Amino acid sequence: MKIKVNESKQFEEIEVEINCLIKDKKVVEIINTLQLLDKSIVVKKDNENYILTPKEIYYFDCVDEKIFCYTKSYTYETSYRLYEIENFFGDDIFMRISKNMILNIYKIKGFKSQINGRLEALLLNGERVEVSRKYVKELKYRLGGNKNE
Amino acid sequence: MNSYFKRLTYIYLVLSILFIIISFVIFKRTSTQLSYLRLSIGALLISAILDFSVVIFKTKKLPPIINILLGFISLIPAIYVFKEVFGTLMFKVSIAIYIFAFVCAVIYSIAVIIISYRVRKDEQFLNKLLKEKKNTENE
Repeated sequence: MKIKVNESKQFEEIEVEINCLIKDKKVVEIINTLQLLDKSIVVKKDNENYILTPKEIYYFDCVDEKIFCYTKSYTYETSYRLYEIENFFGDDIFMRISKNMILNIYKIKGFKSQINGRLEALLLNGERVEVSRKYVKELKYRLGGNKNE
Repeated sequence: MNSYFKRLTYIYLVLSILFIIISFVIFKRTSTQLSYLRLSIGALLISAILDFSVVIFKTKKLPPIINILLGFISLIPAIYVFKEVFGTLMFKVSIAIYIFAFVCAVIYSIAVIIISYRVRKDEQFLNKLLKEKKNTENE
């Protein structure tokens, strides 16, 4: 993939043009990722509001009916419900990994299984989150595997 | 809580069928009729114990190895309830209960091995997919 940047005063805002042979899965992924950069979410910490982009967010977790948003080193609270977050960001970056958690799949470093059947996702910031068995099939698909595998 | 009762109902159904089959075999061999109430209560108690064992096995608060050990320990009362339900009709010699406990332990171990094997397979496959995805992104 070649990336060209044209700097000129004639452009009032950033324009991205994709030249490709065919609009395949990879191109769609690029388009979705670029569209996501425009999306952001308002979160709260110590009575102050912050705006976070999906790139900064590691995962959302629901604890006692409150939704928390986790970045590399901070935790914020948000007023959105998990399904609203899912609908808002679509399913390109985030995915549901358990009943009360939505994970940014680009922040996964690896996976680790436990002897009692637990599957954990190791994140880039060193945290571990549990992946429910119910969502493993979907996770495989989202990472490029076949739906039936 | 909802999933607890769902699982309890499912286990109770399977156990009731199993108990009916066992009591039928006992009746055919010894012509002894077991009390329906005794069988039902026994099946319900064992279902509750099995369900509790699954809850302990799946709890996130403990290290995995402790989960496995506590899961089996919490199963032990079920063996005694089983003995109380069928009594000397199935446990004629005193060693029979130990053999039965050993069989339960073997079944439990096989179940744990199958579960950990399946999740290990998933882990390897997911790591492979993740690696491939990262390689594609870097190209």
